[in-house]
Amino acid sequence: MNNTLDYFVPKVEGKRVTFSRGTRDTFNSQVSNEVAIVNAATLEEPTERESFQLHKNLSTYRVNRAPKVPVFDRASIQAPTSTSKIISFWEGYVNAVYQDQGYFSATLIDLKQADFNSESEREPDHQAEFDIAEVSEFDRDLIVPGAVFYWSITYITSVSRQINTNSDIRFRRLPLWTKFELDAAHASSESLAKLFGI
Amino acid sequence: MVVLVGKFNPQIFQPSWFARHNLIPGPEADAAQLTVVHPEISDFSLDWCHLNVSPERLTLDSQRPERYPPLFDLLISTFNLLSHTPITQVGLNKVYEFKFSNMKEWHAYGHKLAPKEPWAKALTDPGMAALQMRGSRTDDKKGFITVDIRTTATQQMRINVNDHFELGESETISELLEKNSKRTIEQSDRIVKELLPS
Repeated sequence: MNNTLDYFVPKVEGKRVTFSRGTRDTFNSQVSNEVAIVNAATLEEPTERESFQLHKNLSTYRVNRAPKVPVFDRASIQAPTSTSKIISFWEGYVNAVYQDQGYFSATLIDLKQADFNSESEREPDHQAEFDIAEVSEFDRDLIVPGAVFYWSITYITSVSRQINTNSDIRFRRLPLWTKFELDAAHASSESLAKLFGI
Repeated sequence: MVVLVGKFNPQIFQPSWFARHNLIPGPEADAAQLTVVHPEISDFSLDWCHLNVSPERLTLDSQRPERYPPLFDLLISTFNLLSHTPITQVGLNKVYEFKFSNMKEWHAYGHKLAPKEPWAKALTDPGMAALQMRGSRTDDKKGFITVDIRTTATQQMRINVNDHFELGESETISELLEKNSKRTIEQSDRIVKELLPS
């Protein structure tokens, strides 16, 4: 079975490489429509005169840059550069926001992962106050009463074995209402309104 | 790692699409490491997760356990928006890495999981390289639980617990994740705790 789908001509523009559809015979001639964009950082010294193949291998695709290393090397993408250990992990609910004083109060529920070295139990719920400045700028508009966030404290051991402590607050981006759900809610409210003669 | 099997349109799954729908913060999308976007595949990494989508399969994983809840949130929100995406199978995987303090313990654990007597006449110095066990679900869902234990280096092993669901026609992926993601993580922790040498 021939799994080769096509050949692609790369065009290097700074850090981006654009691949255009070609064929084995013509990949160095006319460039046609763009079909893929690859981050040049994942390539090794790309040049415009090299050909690429897109292979279909079961359910995964792989761009090969024969005879050099494949462009997609999941091992290289996922290779851990450091290890982390969660010290504490909480789910928080915002109770009140005090913008003027720059903080918010929250209830925290322990989400600590299983500790395989001890029989530690989950902590009881806590009340806590957080500086708004501790939250990433792009999450600050999500700090409203009732909002849910995750707070973790992690030991991160770098490749050079240096240990750092990291506090991470991440606000939950709640699922959006779909049109179907909104329509259903609207229909339900209309029938209730009729029922009560409103 | 979450693996979904179904029918997907990889071109939709771009960092800018997620940011436009407020599923991830804009600056996170801007900083995404884009590997490729193509009609047949989309592959990119944020600083906390990695997404790969082909027409038949979607995988989303994170090397940071404290980001598992946001990872599930991202999928729930995504498929609330793409509610008509046909998804037939769901795999929720949690991976654990362990290191044994000495060779004796490492070998003893291998002997316990895979006794060498049946292999004694077949192989010289048999040693367990990998073992996979499958068990039935204990809830009312279709599917199974698979535990994969393998040696990754001398005195080191990796345990992967896979919670596999066959998605029913009346159930959406968002509902399934809402109801099961937290339970799956706890169940995986419990299974691994049972399997670790006492």
